[in-house]
Amino acid sequence: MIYGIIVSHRNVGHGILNALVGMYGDVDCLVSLSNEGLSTNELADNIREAARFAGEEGVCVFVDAYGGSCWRASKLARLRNAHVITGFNLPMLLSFVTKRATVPFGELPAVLETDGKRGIRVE
Amino acid sequence: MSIVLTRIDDRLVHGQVTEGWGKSLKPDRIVVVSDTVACSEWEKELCIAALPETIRGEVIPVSDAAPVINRLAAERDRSYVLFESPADAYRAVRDGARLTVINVGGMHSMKGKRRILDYIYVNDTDSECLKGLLASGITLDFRDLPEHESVDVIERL
Repeated sequence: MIYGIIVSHRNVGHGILNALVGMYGDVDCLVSLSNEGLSTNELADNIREAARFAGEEGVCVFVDAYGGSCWRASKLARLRNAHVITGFNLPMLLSFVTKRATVPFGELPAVLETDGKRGIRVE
Repeated sequence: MSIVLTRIDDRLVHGQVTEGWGKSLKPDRIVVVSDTVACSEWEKELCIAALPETIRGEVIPVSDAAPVINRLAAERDRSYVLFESPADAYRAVRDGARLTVINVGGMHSMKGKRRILDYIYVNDTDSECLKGLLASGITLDFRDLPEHESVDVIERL
């Protein structure tokens, strides 16, 4: 199955995953990795380790901020068959959980981007 | 205005550096000193990809650090110099880099290192090089962000 790894500063990912579980129920396709206390290379190792649980269908790595250590570690992990998607939010992750089984892996990033952006409103 | 921050941080360019320190120091340029990054065009791009538009990024090998640092010190730009490790900083100093203060802000958990602070872990090489920097007359400023107090951990190295 398509698997997701949230890579974030401190507890951002743990918190959003917790909210997702509260909203959707059990989520077994996503894990959260924090950068807390880790060098960029050590975090990249953790990302590679987490990706080992993914099937051959691919991995989506969700990163909280472009350019920071989480983003760099996600790139340095050099995962095969992976999309690095930066700037996640709750609607995007909910979209991932609900659509990953039906949307082809190659088309998933565009769908997630659309759904994530749809969740941002300035009123 | 010369070098406004010299820092040892194994994460190199990241939020604490650009935003946390940047909000008061307002650098024009960030010079990353790292053999690992300098030898790969792809890693160089990753390292400086997301710098704010107002900050120029540059990656140099450790062997170039001393002359570059001494040149930057005389320039009008407000520059940061980021080292990946104490060993790299110590080598630059032994090569003639004229530095007076180094902020030690990020040496994170790795196998074989022991914890000094939440954000400072050291092995024997790190300790020896930090002591070498001290012996060279350089002040080591242990803190992650400018609003935090500098922590005296010299006796624990």
